[in-house]
Amino acid sequence: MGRRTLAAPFSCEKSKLSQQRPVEPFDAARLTNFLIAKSIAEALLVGALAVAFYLMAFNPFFRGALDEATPQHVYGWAVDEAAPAARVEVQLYIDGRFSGATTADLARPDVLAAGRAADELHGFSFNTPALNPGEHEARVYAVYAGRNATRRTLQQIGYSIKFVVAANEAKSAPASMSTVGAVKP
Amino acid sequence: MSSTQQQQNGAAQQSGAARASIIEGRRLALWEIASIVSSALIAEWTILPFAGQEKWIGAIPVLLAFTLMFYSQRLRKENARELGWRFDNFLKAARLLALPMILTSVLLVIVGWLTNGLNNNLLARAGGRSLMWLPAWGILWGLLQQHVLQAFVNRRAQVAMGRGWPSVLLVAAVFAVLHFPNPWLSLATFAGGVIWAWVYQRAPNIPALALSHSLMTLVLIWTLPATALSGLRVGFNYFA
Repeated sequence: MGRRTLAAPFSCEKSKLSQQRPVEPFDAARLTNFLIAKSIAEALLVGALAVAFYLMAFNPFFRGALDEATPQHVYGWAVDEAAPAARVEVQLYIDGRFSGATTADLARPDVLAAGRAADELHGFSFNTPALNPGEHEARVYAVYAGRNATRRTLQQIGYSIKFVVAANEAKSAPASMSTVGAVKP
Repeated sequence: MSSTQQQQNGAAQQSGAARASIIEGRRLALWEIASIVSSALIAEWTILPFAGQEKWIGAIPVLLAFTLMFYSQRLRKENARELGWRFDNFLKAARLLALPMILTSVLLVIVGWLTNGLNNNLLARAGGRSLMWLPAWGILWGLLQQHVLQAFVNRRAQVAMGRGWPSVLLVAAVFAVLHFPNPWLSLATFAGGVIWAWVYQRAPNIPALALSHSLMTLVLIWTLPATALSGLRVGFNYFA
């Protein structure tokens, strides 16, 4: 069975489309097949770019937990399972504001015992900054520098923890608390 | 069934088949335009944010687009003369281009004068690059863009919508979309797209259109404030 053929483009120097006649029939099936192949190739390219970008910008191997958050301390652990002997840099955010950074290198024998790391030095601890009375939320993020360090991204470790600062526990928050270290809009 | 009835039925079937073929041909032409546009948008919008320094990846959708264009032109047996690579109608195309170009240039000079754009540093307007690149690079770039825009998009638009304003506006809209989100450049390319598509439908001549493209780019850079053109950046690069 022969391929379908369609009218070739019309000479634009003639007047109306309806008055024109095909110059040459052409192989529409081949063109359609090429268009489908091109669409698939481009979809695959964009998909591959998206996955490659994700892997370059984020580290899918971070594991960890935020174990406890109190008005005094925030504890937890963080491991890069792709490099279980490496120390992970973590940042603490209270109520969405940067409150401190440290390296997860404190002893956590339970992490080693659970087989999550090559050694036990993967714990972190922050001193909770001065906060006003009321409920607050702590989140800890692992820092990933990416290839060539052209991007630095934060990935949350575990879940956020809410805690309450009582009036008698409250330390007056310094005026700069809301601005120093906070991510600028 | 009588022979007259059979003849009538046969004619009706042939007419129906021809009509279906035309509709299918129009859809295919629109698909070709959409495919070229999607390739350009992928190159403009996804390569820089996703591929970062690996800008060579942008060559893949561009290569696919050019392969489609040349393959389609070969399948449709379009020759260089039909596409507009000729000089016999150069003067006709130049005459058609002259008035719109002069009017647009005068308008741009007035806008530039009113906005103090004429006093700006010329190098800054060229995105910090030397102005020496403009004449040579401008003509090459103009030839390339006009070939894609007219010898492919315009011709397919005519297959889909016929010759006239609908296809002219489609070509201009495609040209403007490829310059998003740069607002002034999109506006300028829409206006330029209307003029060039209209001229191409009357006198298909790529060299004349490329020369006009290059000259109008120079006038645009020379007259409008550098801040308005944002270094001629388009796509994701506009935000970079």
